[in-house]
Amino acid sequence: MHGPDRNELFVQLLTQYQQRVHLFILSLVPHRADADEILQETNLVLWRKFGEFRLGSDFRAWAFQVAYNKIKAFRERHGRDRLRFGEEVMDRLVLVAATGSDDLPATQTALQDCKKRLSEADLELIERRYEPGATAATVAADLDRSVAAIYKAVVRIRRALFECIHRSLLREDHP
Amino acid sequence: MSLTPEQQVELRDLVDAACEGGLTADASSRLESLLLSDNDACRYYLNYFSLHGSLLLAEGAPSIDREPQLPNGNPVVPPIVVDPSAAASCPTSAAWSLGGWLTSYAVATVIMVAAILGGWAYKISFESKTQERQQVAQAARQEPDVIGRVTEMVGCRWDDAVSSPCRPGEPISRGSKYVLDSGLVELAYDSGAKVVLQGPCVYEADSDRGGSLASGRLIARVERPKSASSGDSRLFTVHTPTATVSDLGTEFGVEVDGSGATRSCVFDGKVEVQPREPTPQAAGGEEIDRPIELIAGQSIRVVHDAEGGALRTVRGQADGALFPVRPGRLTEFVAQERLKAFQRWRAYSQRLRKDPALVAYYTFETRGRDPTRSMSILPNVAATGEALDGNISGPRWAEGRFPGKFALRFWGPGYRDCVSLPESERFRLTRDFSFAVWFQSHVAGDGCGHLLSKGNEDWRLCVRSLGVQFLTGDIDRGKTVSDLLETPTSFHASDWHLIVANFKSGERTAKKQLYIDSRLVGTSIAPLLASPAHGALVTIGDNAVWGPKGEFSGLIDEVAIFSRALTAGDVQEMFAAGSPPRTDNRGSKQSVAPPAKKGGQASSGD
Repeated sequence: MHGPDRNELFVQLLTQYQQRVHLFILSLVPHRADADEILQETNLVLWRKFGEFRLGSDFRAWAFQVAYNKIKAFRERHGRDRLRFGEEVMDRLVLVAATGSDDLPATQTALQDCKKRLSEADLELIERRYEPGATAATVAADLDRSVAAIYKAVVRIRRALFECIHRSLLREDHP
Repeated sequence: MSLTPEQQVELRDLVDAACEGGLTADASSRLESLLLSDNDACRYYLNYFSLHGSLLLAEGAPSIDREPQLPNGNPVVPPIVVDPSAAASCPTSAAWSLGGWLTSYAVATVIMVAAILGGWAYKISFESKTQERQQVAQAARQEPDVIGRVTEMVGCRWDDAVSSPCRPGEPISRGSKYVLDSGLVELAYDSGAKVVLQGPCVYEADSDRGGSLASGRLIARVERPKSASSGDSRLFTVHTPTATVSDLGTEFGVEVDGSGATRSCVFDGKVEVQPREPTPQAAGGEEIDRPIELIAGQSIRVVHDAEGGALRTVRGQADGALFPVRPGRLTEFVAQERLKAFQRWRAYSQRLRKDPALVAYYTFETRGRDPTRSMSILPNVAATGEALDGNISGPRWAEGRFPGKFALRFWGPGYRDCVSLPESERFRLTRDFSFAVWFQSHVAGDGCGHLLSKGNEDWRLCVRSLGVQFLTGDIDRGKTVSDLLETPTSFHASDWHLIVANFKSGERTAKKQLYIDSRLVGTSIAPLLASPAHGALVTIGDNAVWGPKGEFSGLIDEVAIFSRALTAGDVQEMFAAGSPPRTDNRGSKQSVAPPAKKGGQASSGD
């Protein structure tokens, strides 16, 4: 495959896997801004090295590995405390992530369905918690409630969403 | 998950703390230790963080409110177009120098790529909050009639014709029927009851507070809620052909035998047993039709006097041996079984390495255990072997038969995934030899995916979608020294199988055997092998001569090559030591048909 076809393929693959890569980085890097920076660097390397990518092999796994290399480079620059885990755990997570099932589209659909099943109060609370820059503490301050109460409620709602998504995916597998 | 229930709770709490940025150094260290101990824990972490990240990205859109920049402060986009190193590294870079529409197309593409690099290419299409909230009430009314879920299972084989196979996490609805040929399944009712079904059994969850046991055994544990009123005494009820067993807040087992007789054993608390028909009182013969109350340590059998005769009751003591796994303990039981199986295999594997006839032995354990080793090397661990490490080209590391053990995933036709072993005199096997391979086959179509082969003229072992072939000699060229032993076998993609191929030379002929999962499924008499030609390389997962149709699709997680033919006892020991416990989620009707033999004939091979 040459020239434009290959460029088009790159765009197609990067678009298809961009959110997966971003979520993967977010799972290893606690701070959103750091994760975004690493995502950009990852994209740059993917683009530069796409010529070396073997067509037909696993783009997702390759992209995760590139992202992981960028995370390690980030650690070299900023130190271990900007990351969530040590290298041994990250090694393991990369392996599991790259070899695991890839059902993000179904997960996203299920998430939308599951959010609709939340009570209005729960939906509002989880949306407040995930507004840009929000934390349990800022939401607690806004609502004049204790941080512990908000933390507990957010955990409860998020776990309910997780369970709901899990069940939806199972139903999809076994209609 | 091989974590204990307590560790699972701890893991969930720690992952939530990580989402909320509240991990202390100690908690972070503890989370690391849990993740390192179990791949399922890693999966849980990644899936949960995928949700956390999705919520974050959905609500916030990209957080970057500035031009996307490289760390050095330069904008991201321009260097992509003009960066000479990028062009030089791309074998298709010639396209950039073309004029006309091609250049325009490239520019357009780069603009798209630039947009992607800015982090804006993907969108999560959420409906507006207003619309969502208007739909909340309506959606809530559409909840399925779920009364609980399957929480754990081990060694399950289902009667596919009657019940759908299930897996942990699957919801239980009213009327869900479980026809289990063997194994254990734990059901957790939303009402608080936990039930372990012991195969073989037939059970239907007919309400949110009970079910019908047509045959087999179950054990249930029901905690009496503190809020339960005194009149609300029957917390869980099991209907059988001969009795109704009502729980009053306790742990009890129920068994229904082939005649429909019911045995109920109480291990904690008390239950009521109501025979389906009035029964004569044990001592006096007067009929009673009221429930019989049992307390801990007691049991009762409700049986027919004779075939079709009246029911009678026989009291006795509760027999715990009938119900070895208690509700809530199945996860622990499964984890212990998996760990025991892994330890059993490792002990066997350590012994096997010392076998003087072992030419090469690949356990696929190294990944993750020794991070200093290259991921592209497959180490030979045979004690007698020279350095016969394999070179991995293409296949990816994946989880193997046991938690903590690895495998290589081969993607099949077109991928050229392969592990090549170095050329060595030790692989020039002609008299007696044997191969053993643990694998999961995803082979489809009309190809024959090579598990192990040495060129095209020495020996090859390959898997078809419906069979296995063990070939020796120059099959494709139709020379006289050739032999194909084929056996029709179907493999389910999620089952691990052991295949052993034996070649034992006599004076004039050789005997070939194929074992699958320790069963001898094929035998043939074959010509003796001449000295191997060309020094062709031994490969795992591919055969250079066959092309795409010879590429294996699936997982391989152990390969052993011997310079002797294994005995049936050797094969049985290998299978017993290496079989993973079945914790799968589906019906499995393995079909290993009687052997079919095609001996001494030339074949195109495909």
